[in-house]
Amino acid sequence: MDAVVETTALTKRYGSVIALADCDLALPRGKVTGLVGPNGAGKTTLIHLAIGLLRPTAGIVRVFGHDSTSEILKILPRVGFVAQDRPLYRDLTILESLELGRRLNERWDADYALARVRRFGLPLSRKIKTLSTGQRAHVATSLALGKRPELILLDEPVANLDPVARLALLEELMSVVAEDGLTVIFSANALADVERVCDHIVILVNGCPRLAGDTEELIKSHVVAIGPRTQGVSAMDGELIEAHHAERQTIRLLRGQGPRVDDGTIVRPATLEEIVLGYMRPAMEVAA
Amino acid sequence: MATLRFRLDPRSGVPTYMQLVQQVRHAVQYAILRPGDQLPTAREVVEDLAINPNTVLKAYRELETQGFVHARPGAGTFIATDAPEPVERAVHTPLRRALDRWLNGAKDAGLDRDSVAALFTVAFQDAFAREESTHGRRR
Amino acid sequence: MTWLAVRQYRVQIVVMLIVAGLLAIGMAFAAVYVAGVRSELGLDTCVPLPNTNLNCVQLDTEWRRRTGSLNYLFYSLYVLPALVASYVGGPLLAVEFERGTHRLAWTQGISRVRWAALKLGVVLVATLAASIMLAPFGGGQKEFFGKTVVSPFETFEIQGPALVSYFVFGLAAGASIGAWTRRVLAGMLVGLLVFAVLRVGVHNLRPAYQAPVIAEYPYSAGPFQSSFDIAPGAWVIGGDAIDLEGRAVAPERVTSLMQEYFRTPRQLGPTSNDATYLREHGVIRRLLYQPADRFWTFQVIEAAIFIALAALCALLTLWRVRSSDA
Repeated sequence: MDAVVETTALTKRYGSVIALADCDLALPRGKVTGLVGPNGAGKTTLIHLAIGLLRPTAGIVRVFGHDSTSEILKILPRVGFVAQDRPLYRDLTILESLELGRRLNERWDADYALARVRRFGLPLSRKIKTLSTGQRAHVATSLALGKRPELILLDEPVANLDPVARLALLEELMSVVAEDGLTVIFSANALADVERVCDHIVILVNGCPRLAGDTEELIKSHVVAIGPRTQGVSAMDGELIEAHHAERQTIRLLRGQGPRVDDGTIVRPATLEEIVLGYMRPAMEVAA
Repeated sequence: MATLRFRLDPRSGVPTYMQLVQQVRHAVQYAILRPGDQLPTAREVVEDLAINPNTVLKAYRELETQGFVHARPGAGTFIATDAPEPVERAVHTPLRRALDRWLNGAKDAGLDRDSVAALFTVAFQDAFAREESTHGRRR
Repeated sequence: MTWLAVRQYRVQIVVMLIVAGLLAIGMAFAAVYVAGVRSELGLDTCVPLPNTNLNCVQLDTEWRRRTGSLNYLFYSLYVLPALVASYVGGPLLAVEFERGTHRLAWTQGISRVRWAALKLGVVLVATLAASIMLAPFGGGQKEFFGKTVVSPFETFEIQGPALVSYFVFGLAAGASIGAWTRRVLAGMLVGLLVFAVLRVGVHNLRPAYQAPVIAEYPYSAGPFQSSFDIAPGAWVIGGDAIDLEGRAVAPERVTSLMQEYFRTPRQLGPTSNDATYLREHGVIRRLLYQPADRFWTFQVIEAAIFIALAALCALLTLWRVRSSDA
């Protein structure tokens, strides 16, 4: 895999809280990767480590082969970033915010950034503090894209956005992917968004990656088996990821082909949502 | 302006790329798109639909394999001049009759609407579940 | 980044420069006006009437009535550096952390240190300009003291390089505390506190910048000699008393001897004085002072101390910005 972000034994601790524990990850270039996991799983921490806002407690994180701590200035021209709260300077106008991008970045495509902002029909002389959440999200994203990055990192980019703004933002990102081959890595809580645009997924739980892979591969390799109540699983069926029991019935998420039996068991491909929830849940139960 | 706009039904159980394939095939079969017409670019599609561009490219590749379109590098993807003709009535009619017989049989056996749908859905998904792994064998 | 810093602080910069400009003009005018009223009233040529100097006192009162409020212009200079520490320095970096905009600024293309340094730099230049405008005029407060010989040290803290250095230090201290606490309110309050503590602390160190001159009260120079007579314009640090062998004498002894002297009728003659009396009792009074001609040396030393403190604050700030988590 041509990895754009690589971590080796990456650990981040805040006092006694471990946000990331000894993570080894490789996030692919040219794909749209979704980071999913419960709140506090380490998604924001991972993104902040990659973009140099945090320093690792232990281990290494590299972007485009450069260390994010010691070589961040080599990384920044190639990577755009939008933090969760989409920070912008409230007293600047939209035009001035773009000027900020031009002044603080080596490479800046002013016409491109302007065109992206104009798509949303916002007058350039409006001050940031007068904009709605959705409008600010667009400006912040346009600002991140203005340097024509090869990679963009977004922390919960569509959280708190109304449906129209949400779709518009995803459309914008996907159009840059289509046009320039942009690599996108974003964290999300809503699986619908992940299902819509991601072709690679990383499931983080309690600071560790539980599962990582192309969505297509994951869907092909997991099945749901709904059948009579049963305990355990034979090796032929595959690896048991999760089982839910009712009095007479068991629903299992399996990695593999699944059982071929005649007892009325239905075996069908797992949906992405079932896979993600299946990997997220058992670990969450362990923590509790 | 793009020749065609796609609509997705995320709840249909049909993979996204397949829905795109079906919509193009439908358009060709009903002469909405004619040989030589250009399909919307991946960028146009995702600007409209917020899906991964690879999904669009996958759909177009599938359509090319099926013979409906022809990709010209640098220019775009176009409906093939030798695209398959609309499906003959001769193929549809006996299939439709067999389906009617099966449905009447199911109703006579006492299955209600939902049971019939469930039975059909399982068989349907079974039949088309691993489509990607059977490249090239169509029609 | 320079553009961004100027854009962010343009209001503050303009306000600082305008206020400083107006205040400088005000002080210049006040000094001239105060002296003018004084000469108009003829205070310096006033001859007190026999048995009373009420007419001169009346003139003095009139003079103060007409000019006294202008003194506030000068007193404001004691307060302004503290205000800079609190309102300009405190929020400078803290507001970015509080609002999360540092996560925007640190992920563009410039280093964190450059970002912080240019922010500090731009505001520093404006602060310097404002304080340099004010520095020449603080000394004009001496016009309010009239014609009594007054030490330039009376207006030490509101003029010259020392005044400029207070502003610079105020900015640096406020910004530093704001950067460390990452809270605007803490930056403002604690920054102000740190500034005040160090101002007072250095103020108390000032007498020791150079070893004070020690002068004995002359014992044959005529009637009672005050410190003004011995060292006009000097900054009196204090006084002590030694015996004929050079050992320190308790102040109570000196006080009681002085009281004796003033109670005793003047038998000692016109050419001797209290110092003579003390000397006859084995006590030599001394004056410790910094002469007036050391004023500018002391200004430079004070300014150097505060500039060094400011540089230290700035370095701490940059180090903190560089090594901390976002």
